[in-house]
Amino acid sequence: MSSLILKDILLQKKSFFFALGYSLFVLIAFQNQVLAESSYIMGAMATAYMLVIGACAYEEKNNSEVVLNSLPLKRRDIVLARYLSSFVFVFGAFIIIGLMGALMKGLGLPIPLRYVRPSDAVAVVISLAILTSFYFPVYFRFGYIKSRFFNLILFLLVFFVPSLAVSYIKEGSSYEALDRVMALIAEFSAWQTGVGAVILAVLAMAVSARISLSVYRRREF
Amino acid sequence: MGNVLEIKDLRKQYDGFLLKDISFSLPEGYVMGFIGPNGAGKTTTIKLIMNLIRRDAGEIEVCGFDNIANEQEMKEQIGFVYDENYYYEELTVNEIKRIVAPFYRNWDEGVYQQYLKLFELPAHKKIKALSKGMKMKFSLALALSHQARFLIMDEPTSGLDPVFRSELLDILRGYLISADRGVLFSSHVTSDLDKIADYVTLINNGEILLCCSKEELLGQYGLVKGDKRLLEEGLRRELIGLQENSFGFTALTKSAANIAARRYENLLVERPSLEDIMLYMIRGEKHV
Amino acid sequence: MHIIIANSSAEPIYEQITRQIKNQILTGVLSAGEALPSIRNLARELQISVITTKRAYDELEREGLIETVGGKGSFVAGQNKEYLHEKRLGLLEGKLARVVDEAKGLGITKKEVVEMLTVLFEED
Repeated sequence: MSSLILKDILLQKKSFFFALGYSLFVLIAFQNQVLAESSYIMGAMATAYMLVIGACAYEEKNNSEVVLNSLPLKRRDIVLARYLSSFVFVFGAFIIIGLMGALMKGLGLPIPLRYVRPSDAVAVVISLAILTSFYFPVYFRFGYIKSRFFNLILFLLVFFVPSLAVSYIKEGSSYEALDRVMALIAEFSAWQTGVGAVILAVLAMAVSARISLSVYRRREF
Repeated sequence: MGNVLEIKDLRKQYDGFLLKDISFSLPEGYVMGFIGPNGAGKTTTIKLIMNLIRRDAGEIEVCGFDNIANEQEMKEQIGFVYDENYYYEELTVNEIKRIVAPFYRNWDEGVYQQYLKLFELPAHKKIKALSKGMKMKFSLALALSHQARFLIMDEPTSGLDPVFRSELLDILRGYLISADRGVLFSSHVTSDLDKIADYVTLINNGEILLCCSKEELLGQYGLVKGDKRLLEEGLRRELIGLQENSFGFTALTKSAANIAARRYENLLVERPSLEDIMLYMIRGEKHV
Repeated sequence: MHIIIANSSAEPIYEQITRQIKNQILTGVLSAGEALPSIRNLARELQISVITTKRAYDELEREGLIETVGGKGSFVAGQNKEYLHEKRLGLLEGKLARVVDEAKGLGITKKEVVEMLTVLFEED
C-alpha cells in the first residue's frame, strides 16, 4: 500500500512548486481582518485539496486503473490508499505554508500576522477529512471526469464557508437558531470543541470509506 | 500437466452484446491464439479473466485458482500486456517499476534488469517519451519479471512493424521453454499466430466458432478454389463461406482430404492460413 | 541435423520433418544413439508449433526410428545394419517404381531404361 501512496506523490512532483508559490500568495493576499485569521488554514486547505484532486485526475488521465486492478492488489487497498495519501498531502501542504510563514516572520516582514498554530493544523485536518468524505464516494463511483461538477461545488463550499463561519462567529448573525448553536458551542472549551470536531471528522471518514469501498467493488473497467 | 486456463460456461451481458456461455481451456506449455473480428468478445473475455469486469455466470480458473475466490493469488501468476499503454505517462520507467514490483511476491529484480538491457529500455525516461514499441516492451519486461506462469496478451502487436513483431515472437518462444507456462495471445494479426500458436480459438459475436490445435485445424481444413461449374449440391454442402467471382469460386472446407481425393478437374485444395479460416468462417456465419 | 520447411508445399509440416529426419537416419547422417533436439527446442528453432514437432517425433517413434526416454529426450534408435539396409532398400524400390511410371508415361521401353541404367552405373 505504501507503493500506492508513493505513486500519488511521484505523480505530482511538479505541483510541489505550485504549492510553494500558492502558499506565498495566500499569506500575502489574505491580510484584512476577516481573512488573516484563516490564512494558514485556507492556504493549506487549497494546496492539499489541489494535490488530492490532482492525484485523482492523473489516475483517470492514463486510464491506469486498468493496470492497478490487474495487479495482485485488493480493491480495498486502492480505496484506502486514496484516503491515506490525502492525509499525506495535508501534512505536506501544512508544513510548507507553516515554514513559509515562519520564514517571512523571521525575516522581519510585517505579514503574515502570526506564526502558525496547532489549532490551524487541527482545523485543516478536520476540514480536509470532511471534504474528502464527501468527494471520494462520488469519485469512486463515477470516476474523475464525471465528478468534476460536484467537485467544484464542494471546493467553493469549503473555501468560503469557513471564512464566512469565522465572520459570523465574530459579528453574530440574524438567525436566532444559529446564535443559539454558537452559544452552545462557545460553552465548551476550545479543547472540547477540538476533540468533538475530530471525532466528527473520523466518523465521517469511516462512513465515507465504507461507502467508497462497496461502490468501488462493483466498478467495472 | 494441468491447465493454465480453464473457462466454463462464461456469460456476460452488455448493452447490445452477449458473451454466450463460452468454454475453452489451455493446457500447460502452449500458446493459444485468440482470433476474431473487432467486437467479437476477445477483450471482454480477457477482462473477465482479470476480473476487471464482473461475469454474469460461469467459472474461470487460472493455474487452478478461481479468479474471484482467489483473485490475488491468481493475479500473482499472471503477466499481462494490453493493447495500449495504461501506465502513468508522467512517470519514468524506474518509478513505475518501484510502484509495481512490491505487489508481486516473486518479483525478480535480476530478471527485470536483464530484460531492461535486452530491450534497451532507458530507466530514467518518462513513459510518454517512449515509442509505441518501447512501451509494449516495457509492459512485457514487467510481465516477465515476477515468474508469471500465464501470460495474457491483448492485441500487443497492433501498430508495430514486422521486425518488432518477430522479436516479440522470439521472446515468447524463449518464455515457453519452461513447459509449465502458457500464453493467451489475442490478435487480429493472424500471421503472427500462424507462426507461434499451438492452439487456436475463433470467436465471433460472443460465440466460439472453433477451438482446437492448429495442427488439427490445418490438417482438416482446406481452401478450395475452382471452376464454378463444379458447384453442384454435393460439393456445395461441404463448402463454408463460398465466394464466387467471374472467374471461379473460393471457399473453405472442413473435409479437405475428402474433396482432394475426389480429384475434380479444375479444382485446387490448398492449406489455409489462419486468416483464411477466420475470414471464410465469419463470412459463412453471416449467410446462415 | 538439417531440416528445411517448405511453407507453400502441400505436404503437412510434420510429415516434412518426419521425412527429412528419417532420411538422415537411414543414410547414416544421424548415427545410432545420437541425441535429437527436444521437441520444444526444435519448435523454437524452426518457428513452428510444439504440437507439430511432437507429432513428427511420435511418427518417427512409431516407425521404430527413434526412442524417447522420459525426462532425458529423444535419441536415434540403435539399429542393426540389416534393419537399416531393409529400410533403404524399400526407399530405393519406391524410387524405381516412380522411374518405371515415368518411363511408361513417356513411352520408353524396359530395354531403353536398362540401357540408361547401364550407362549410369558405368559412369562411376
